[in-house]
Amino acid sequence: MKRSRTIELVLMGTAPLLVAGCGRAPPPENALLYQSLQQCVLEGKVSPEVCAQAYADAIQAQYRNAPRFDSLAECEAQFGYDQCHPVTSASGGHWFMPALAGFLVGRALSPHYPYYGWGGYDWHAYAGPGGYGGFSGQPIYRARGDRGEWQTASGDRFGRGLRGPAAPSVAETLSRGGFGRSGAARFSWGG
Amino acid sequence: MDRIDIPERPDWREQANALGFRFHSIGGAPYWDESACYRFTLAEIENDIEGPTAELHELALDLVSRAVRDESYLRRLAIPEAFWGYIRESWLRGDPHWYGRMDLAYDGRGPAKLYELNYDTPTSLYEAAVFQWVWLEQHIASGRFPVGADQFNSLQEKLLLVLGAIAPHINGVMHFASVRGSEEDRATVQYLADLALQSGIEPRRLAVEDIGRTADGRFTDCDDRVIEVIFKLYPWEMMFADEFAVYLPACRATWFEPPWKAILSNKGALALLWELNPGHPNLLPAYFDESASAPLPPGWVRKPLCSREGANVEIVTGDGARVAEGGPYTDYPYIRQAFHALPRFAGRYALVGSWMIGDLPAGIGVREDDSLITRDTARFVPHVIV
Repeated sequence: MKRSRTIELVLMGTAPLLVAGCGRAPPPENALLYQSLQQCVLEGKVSPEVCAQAYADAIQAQYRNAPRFDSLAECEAQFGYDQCHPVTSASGGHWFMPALAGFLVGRALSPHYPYYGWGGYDWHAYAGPGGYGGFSGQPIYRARGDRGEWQTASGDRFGRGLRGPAAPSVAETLSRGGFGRSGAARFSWGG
Repeated sequence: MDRIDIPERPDWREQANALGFRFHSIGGAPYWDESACYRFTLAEIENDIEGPTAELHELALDLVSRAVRDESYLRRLAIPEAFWGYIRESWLRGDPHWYGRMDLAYDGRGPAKLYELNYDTPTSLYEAAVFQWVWLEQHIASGRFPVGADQFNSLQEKLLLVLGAIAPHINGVMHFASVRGSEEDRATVQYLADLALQSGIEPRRLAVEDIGRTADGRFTDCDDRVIEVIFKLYPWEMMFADEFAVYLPACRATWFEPPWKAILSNKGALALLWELNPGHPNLLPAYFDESASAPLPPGWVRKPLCSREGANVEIVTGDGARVAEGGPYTDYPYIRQAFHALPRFAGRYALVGSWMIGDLPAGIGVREDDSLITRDTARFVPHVIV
């Protein structure tokens, strides 16, 4: 098959496309993003069944993807006080993992647009779902011998390495508006 | 490859609006046109488009590898010298790329010819990845196409693969910037932000014009948060000409697309690709135009090094007919590229946009125009493999 097997969207068609300027109110966050099953049901944007399915998917994804720690202290050192809980698997394994921070409800587009939920998320700690199968056996990037390891601004190395600080830093902005002038007369770049 | 007329889905405009594809019509004229579609065989897709796309991509990245080591390349591309080191570092450090599109002239028979690389700020992504996909799925569901019908379009899966690869190595946050004023640009960026959200990355949207800078030369968003990883739908050559350009080399932000893409979004890359790979079946002869004010001889196309949407392109066909587009990109040197007419189907000129995600060919979108020059008003026509 030469095409994507499924397509899900969260923001498209729900969130306004406006980009608020600095100093103006940000657009409301319309993505269906919930901290709890109860919040999803009470808000009523999708049916309780969709909420329950999305929540169940998120729990499963959390179980699969969340980092595991031998001790509560190690987990809390990374994720913060009261953010971790013990897990005992059916086969008797025992570990600690961060609690589910929330879950997303998106739309699967084929063929009749049912809502579809997936993924535990914890933006500041680790990547969410992943494991997209299908094409994932192929390396996305070819090794090119002449190139080094990519390193992010916070010192993370592409490939394997330490995670940066849990929240991005804040610094005083001296001025704005220094990008965009060259494009002022030229509205789209796509070609 | 052929073009077949098929009925439109009666509610496609409502569906497009509901999915955030609101630029399906531009100035009252259709941009998305599903009154017809292009039909390919699997052999055409795999042998004539997918394979050559992967090969051309390798040639392009080989060119980058050479150019960052040889200043004569960067000089001929008219890239400001102040950013040569920044571009070189970006490549040698291995800054990852996300996506790009190459435009191919292909008629179903001869080898596809590379018209241009749009490797820095390509749009038409959302309609290719999503709306085209929905169109096919619904026509299969309704029985108009057989169950085995397919499409060369794994764009969303592969865009997510890249995010999945980078997500564990960034800070959980990625900024997404577009310039104010373009619905199409906003939708493209919003789509990528959507995919980031699905990948466990918190997307923060901002306008390119609102990027701030700190005393120590970092860039910030509206809430004074330091920008560490950012996607920008704004060309590098314009960033280099802007006031904040001076802060780029020390800003410590990771950009998508990365600075080394400045080499490939430049049409001079077409001349350099020909110079390095003369006679390649998928390349057209191309040279830097040393006499840009002289009349163009028959059989040649003149393009500015940096232009978008067909602007400032001039064609003199083999029999001497002249086709030209005006535009704002008059302050750059030019290349000449051998004229190779786009194929004509039902009176329209069709151009195949072939996408690369990471280093993987990932799908196509066909656009057609009434003119030999494909402009921003060219219509997007879906395709099917049967």
